[in-house]
Amino acid sequence: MISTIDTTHLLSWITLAPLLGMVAILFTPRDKHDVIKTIAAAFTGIPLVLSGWLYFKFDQSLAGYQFYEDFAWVEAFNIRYTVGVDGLSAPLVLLTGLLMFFAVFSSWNVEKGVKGYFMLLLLLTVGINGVFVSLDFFLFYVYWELMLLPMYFLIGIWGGPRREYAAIKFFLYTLAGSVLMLVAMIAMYLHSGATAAERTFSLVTLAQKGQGGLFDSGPALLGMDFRSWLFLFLFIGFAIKIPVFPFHTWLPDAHVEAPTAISVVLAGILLKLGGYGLMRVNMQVLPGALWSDGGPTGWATMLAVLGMINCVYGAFVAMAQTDFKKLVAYSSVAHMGFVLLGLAAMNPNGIAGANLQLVNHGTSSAMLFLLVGVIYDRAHHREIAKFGGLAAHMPMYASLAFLGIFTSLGLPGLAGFWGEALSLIGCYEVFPKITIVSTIGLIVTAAFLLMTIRKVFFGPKKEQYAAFPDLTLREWACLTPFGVFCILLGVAPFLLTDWIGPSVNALAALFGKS
Amino acid sequence: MNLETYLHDLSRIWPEIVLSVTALLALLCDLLQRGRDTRVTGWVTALGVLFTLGWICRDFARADGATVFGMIAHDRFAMFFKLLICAGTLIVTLLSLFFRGFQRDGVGEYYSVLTVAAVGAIFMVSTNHLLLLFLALETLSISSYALAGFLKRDARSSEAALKYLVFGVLASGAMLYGFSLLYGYAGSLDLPTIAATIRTHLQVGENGLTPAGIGCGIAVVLCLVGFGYKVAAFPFHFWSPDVYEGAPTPVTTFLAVVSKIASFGMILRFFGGIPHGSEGAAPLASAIAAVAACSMTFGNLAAMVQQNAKRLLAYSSIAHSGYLLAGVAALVAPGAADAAHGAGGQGVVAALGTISGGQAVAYYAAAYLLMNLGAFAVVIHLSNRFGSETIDGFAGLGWKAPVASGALVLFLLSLTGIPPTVGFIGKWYLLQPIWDKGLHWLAVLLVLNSVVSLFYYFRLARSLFLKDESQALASPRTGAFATELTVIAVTLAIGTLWFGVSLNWLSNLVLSLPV
Repeated sequence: MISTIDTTHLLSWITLAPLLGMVAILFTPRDKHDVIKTIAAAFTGIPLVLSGWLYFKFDQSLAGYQFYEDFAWVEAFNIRYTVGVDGLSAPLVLLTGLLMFFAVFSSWNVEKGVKGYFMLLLLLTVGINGVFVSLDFFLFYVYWELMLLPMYFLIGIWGGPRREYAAIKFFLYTLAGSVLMLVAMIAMYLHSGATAAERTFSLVTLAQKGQGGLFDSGPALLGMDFRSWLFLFLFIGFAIKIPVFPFHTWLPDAHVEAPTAISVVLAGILLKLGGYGLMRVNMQVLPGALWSDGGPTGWATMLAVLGMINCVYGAFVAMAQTDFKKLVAYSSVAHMGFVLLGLAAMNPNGIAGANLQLVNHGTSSAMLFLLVGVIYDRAHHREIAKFGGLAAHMPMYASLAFLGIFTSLGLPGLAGFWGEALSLIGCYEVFPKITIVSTIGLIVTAAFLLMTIRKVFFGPKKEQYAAFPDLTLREWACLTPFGVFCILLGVAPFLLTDWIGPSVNALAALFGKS
Repeated sequence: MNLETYLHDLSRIWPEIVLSVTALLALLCDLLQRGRDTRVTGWVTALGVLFTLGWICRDFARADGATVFGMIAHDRFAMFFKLLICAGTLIVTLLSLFFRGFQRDGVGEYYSVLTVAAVGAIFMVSTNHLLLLFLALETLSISSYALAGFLKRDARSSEAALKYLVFGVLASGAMLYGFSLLYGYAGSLDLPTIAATIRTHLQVGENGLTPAGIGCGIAVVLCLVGFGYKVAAFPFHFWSPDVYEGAPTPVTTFLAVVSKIASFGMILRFFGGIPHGSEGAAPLASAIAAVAACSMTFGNLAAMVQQNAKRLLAYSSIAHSGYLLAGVAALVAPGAADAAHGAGGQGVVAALGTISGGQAVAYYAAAYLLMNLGAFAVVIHLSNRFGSETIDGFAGLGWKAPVASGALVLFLLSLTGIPPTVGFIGKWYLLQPIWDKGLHWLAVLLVLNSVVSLFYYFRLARSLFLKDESQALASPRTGAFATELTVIAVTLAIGTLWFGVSLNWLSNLVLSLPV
């Protein structure tokens, strides 16, 4: 499972470098805006470069954890600083590096409270990367909660008109989920051994013990067995983050009110944490809750049904939106449904599809939010109905927008296709009816995205938009890399599938499938 | 008792003696000053308390568990709580020095009364004797009544003192009656003997409780009334919002932090002898758990609608009493630790790697000290400078006083229980024994309560940073000791963060406590 103890501390550098940047900004005078922004760019650039290096150093033939680091943190309770990545988390680390770096660039026009903004952005980076690399549940939880405060202030201070409401709603929802996760974590720890030496927070050990059936027995409460309680508490924590219907209502508010860069981070990475958590904790530690006696359990069916609701309901609600940003936000809900469908399938295709969807949605939704931000900066509104004929005024913008939108609707040849296709293929093997219903979501998604293209970019030219400049150099520089990824991962999906393959197969093997 | 043992015993209560002398010195100092400048008195007091603090640190390793004069326990548990009380008193003394409300009136004797209250608190956590316990409690209480009314020209302050007194006397009466019943059943004023008596009498036999058992139960409930009043637990909390709001803010800080921590030290000592697999403790544990559940829920819900920052913190401290009482319930509850480890039932699992309810309460008390002192320090800072104590009055001040306000956000995070702060570690420690003893519902209720508490704590943060500055805001006042208070707040903030990340030292210290 574990290769060797890493001596380069690569993952620690990736995680903690932004913290140094935070300290540097703390001691920078608050009116030196350019210096602060440059520091922020530099210290989000470090994780990007290092995670790029990680891609090339990563041994793609192994399923286990690599770049493993392990130190004692709290001896009395066997809490350790353990980090490592496998095929499930490494692509997400790279995605984080990419998105956070460009989030800094797309925030270059922030003028209010610059110092605070970039310090919080760096703190957020620490939290996100920390969750992806943590292999100790306690550490995982600390990083998980570390993201809440920066997000609260980033939405609450720099957001739109209803920012206060959106910020506290985001905070309350996410905290409600994570405290239940905390209870599950404590229950798992206390159950993991009879003596101090045996008890552990290590996700690696917990996974081994869980797969061995440790959590199958335990105190039943209110007629539900111990394992189901653990699964439920953990699931709610992750489901709120994904977000799964009916826990999704914070998402549109947060997205609409958040500044562009924060929307990008929210859709691009924060939603991925939920899916990742489901794989890392629920599926690896409690496989028996999803698959027992050679068939899917009620929880797996629930996962698939919720995935279906996300796909169909999310798409229909998105279609009804008049606000461009809200439309993109609800389309995220629909897209995350495919992740759930893929995970519920628990076979290599499904899990690989879910992972591809996580990464691809990270690039495509980030691109869409950036695109919305570009037009909002010019028009100061986001009403789809008020736009029209933009393709003629801003050809460069329009072409990149088409790329993003087509990726989002899953056009073959572009990145979005692979995740959705593999998820559905995988899910069809286990839940054929649910899969068929879910495809309605695909059609509706295509419909509303194409309608959006028609309304915003085609149609009669409108005079008030004639003076709009096309993309500036900075916007161009922010959008192009995502466009490149959308095409690259579309024509060469093996770049990702080879990377995640062994880990995906190992995960699927837990459910007797290979 | 010969002179040698007498002197030897005396040498073990040097901190208490030093603190008492400090109280007298403060009085003398004020006399010499004739009320002209109270700051000298304040600094003398601070030095005295600091000296006591150092002495306790020095004594910490020497605590041998002996009983001094047959009344005072000389153990690590007492040392730990004395340390917290002295540290709290020190900060409160400094806050009083920098509190604007004390600048006008001559309040020299204030420091003397404050120190006497601290002496009472110290004896409360270290005594093993029911009579001394009551004396110590009353020393703290009566000094507190006086402290609450110290702003003599302020009607609210006087009202607070009176309310506090009336409620306090009532609760003391009930508790004293409980004590007398306990003395009747146990025939001794010695706490360990009483604990053993309670344990014996509360055993449920075939015919239910014996008459003595019922009597013992009533006595313990009466004691709980008194304790509940001291820690402002629901339903004995009615005095606290008014008193917290009306009293001068440093006094509020003292009541909310030092007095409460001392009371929990006393509660742990009182109940500490009862558990260890005693089945008879189950109804008692249920009663405490119920009070805990009501306190945290009520405190949090009531805090949501508060406008005054001090009142908000008062309700929040009711909720925190609930959290701490939940830890006490876990301490008292019969050892059902095996229930969490499958129905195999191989007896009680060794307590290694787990923290006992009492230790968790001790840790949480330390966390509570740091974060609540910090929160009050920032409230004093803001009201000194901008003359406002309401949440709306704080609007936009985060940009005017970024360091202090940033520190406040950290304290609020810690009070909510979000990592990486000491408050999170405290909650996490509390949850362990609660879950382990089978009080699963209480654990879930506790974490859900943290979500509720986030809502009102972050109303403060929202006001400070998310709102625009209110127009009515006058320009910052001068002479508001902004720097001094910021230094205090930042120091406490560093502590809050440090103990939230570097867990080993404080955890090991707490795990060595014999509760």
